Amino acid sequence: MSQAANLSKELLNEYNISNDDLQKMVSDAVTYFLVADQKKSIIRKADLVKACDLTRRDRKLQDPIIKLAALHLNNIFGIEVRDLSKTSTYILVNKLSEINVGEFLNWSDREAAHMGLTFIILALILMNNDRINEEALFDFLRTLGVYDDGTTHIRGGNPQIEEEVLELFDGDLRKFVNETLVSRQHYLKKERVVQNEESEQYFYLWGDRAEAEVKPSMVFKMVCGVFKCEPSMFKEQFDRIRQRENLSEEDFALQDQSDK
Amino acid sequence: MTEVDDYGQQIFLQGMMSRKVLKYSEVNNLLETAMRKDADVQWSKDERQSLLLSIINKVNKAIKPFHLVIKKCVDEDNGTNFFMLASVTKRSRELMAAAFEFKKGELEYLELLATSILEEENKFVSSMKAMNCCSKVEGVRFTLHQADEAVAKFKREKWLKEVYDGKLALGIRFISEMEEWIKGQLGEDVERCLLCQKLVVRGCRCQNCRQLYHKYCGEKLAKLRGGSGAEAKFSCKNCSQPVACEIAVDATVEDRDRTPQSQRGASRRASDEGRVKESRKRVIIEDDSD
Repeated sequence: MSQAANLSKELLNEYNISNDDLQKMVSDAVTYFLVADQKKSIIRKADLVKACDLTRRDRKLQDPIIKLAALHLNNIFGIEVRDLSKTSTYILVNKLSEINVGEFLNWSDREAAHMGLTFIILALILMNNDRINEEALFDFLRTLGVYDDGTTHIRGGNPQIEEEVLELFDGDLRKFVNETLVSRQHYLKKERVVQNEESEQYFYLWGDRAEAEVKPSMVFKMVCGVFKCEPSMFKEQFDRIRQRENLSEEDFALQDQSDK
Repeated sequence: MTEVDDYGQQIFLQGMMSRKVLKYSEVNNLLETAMRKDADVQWSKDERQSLLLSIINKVNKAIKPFHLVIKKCVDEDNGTNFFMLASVTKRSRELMAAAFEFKKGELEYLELLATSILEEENKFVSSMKAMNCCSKVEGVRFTLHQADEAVAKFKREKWLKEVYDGKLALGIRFISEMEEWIKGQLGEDVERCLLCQKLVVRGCRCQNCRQLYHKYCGEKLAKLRGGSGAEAKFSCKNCSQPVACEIAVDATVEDRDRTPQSQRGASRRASDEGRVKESRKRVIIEDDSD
């Protein structure tokens, strides 16, 4: 906590503001972070600054205040503020997701469904060498029984989509993927590839939030668990992930079924 | 481990943030996780209490600068203890609605319902009346369907509770989080339980002097004097008359707008001015038989 204390002291000295003033600005920032994160949207610096009434102040105060808020969130709440390398935007990453605190994090049916599907899609992308084209993704969702665009398939019957399941995604999977997962939450990233004048294709990749929150090795272990096979069976993905996360073969031992 | 460390504090705080309102058993489970307790270790009741107190104090000290506090609140009907993370400062409406995860119009609707509930002598309203409030939501079109869903949500999240087969009363979360708002609404009509000095919305009323008490406060006192069960009574701290440990419901006062004459029994201790103010709120002028 002394890091926070030192920074506070610095600010008080340098900028001629009262302690109460400083406390209020930091407190507002922390509250804003917590509240804005509930929808898991990315937090824009401009919105944060406006909400904390920092626009009227010395611009140079903004960054240190945000830094102080981040320190408090880290030390007291166990939540990390990640600055996305792009234009001043932040996401909150829960440091506690490592251990089995899931019992206390109350997911509603809706949230659980969203998380479940997001995870599956991330797994699909990972196993497909980090990118998948739009058609393949929605084809997959169709076979999963969550997506129906009304077309009949030559390949045999579609699984019937349950109303209840569809309800959890507000009835529109395409909208869920594109608006929620890509635009708002940044779990996925959508890339446009122009092949030639006639055709362009869209690809889905892991988004910034997925990169920050999810470990590929964890996803990979889950996939191997589902297929009940050794990690080495998926040699290409296995090698790639191992290298990326700098892990040894033992780290992938399938005995820990505790991954949920 | 007898001292809670930073990690444990984070676990506890996140658990409370996520669950919003927790029962004793849930808090105990959370405590065990936060302390990383081994399954075969047994805590005595005292140990458990003391650990809980120490973790709550530690967390409260840490979150005080952010105007948050973990507090214990008691259900007015059945005396069940709950713990919740509440905010202590007056927030802007946008921030409140966002913090409570309300959709558009829901905060206004909840406040309309609460106002309507507080206007009633018995502090509950029929679901019909609750539905009618939806037309009064300003600034946004709030349909009956939305009202229906909102009420279900409020009940689930303990903002409101159902009493006496379909009536709506203020829930534990509302009374805890919106205490200042309630006091503002009631003004000088706000009532405090003389046994614990805290705000009481629905409770046991002394038939003699009209003093209101929390049912759970009264029951505790009655138990000390040897009484229990339905017949339990305790002495009114104000006038020493016996008070029954049950929440007073004036049956004739149901749905105020319909009853042309309500026999309210002994007059309330409210001032005359307050009384006139109150009757102005009602459409029908009552005949007060003192």
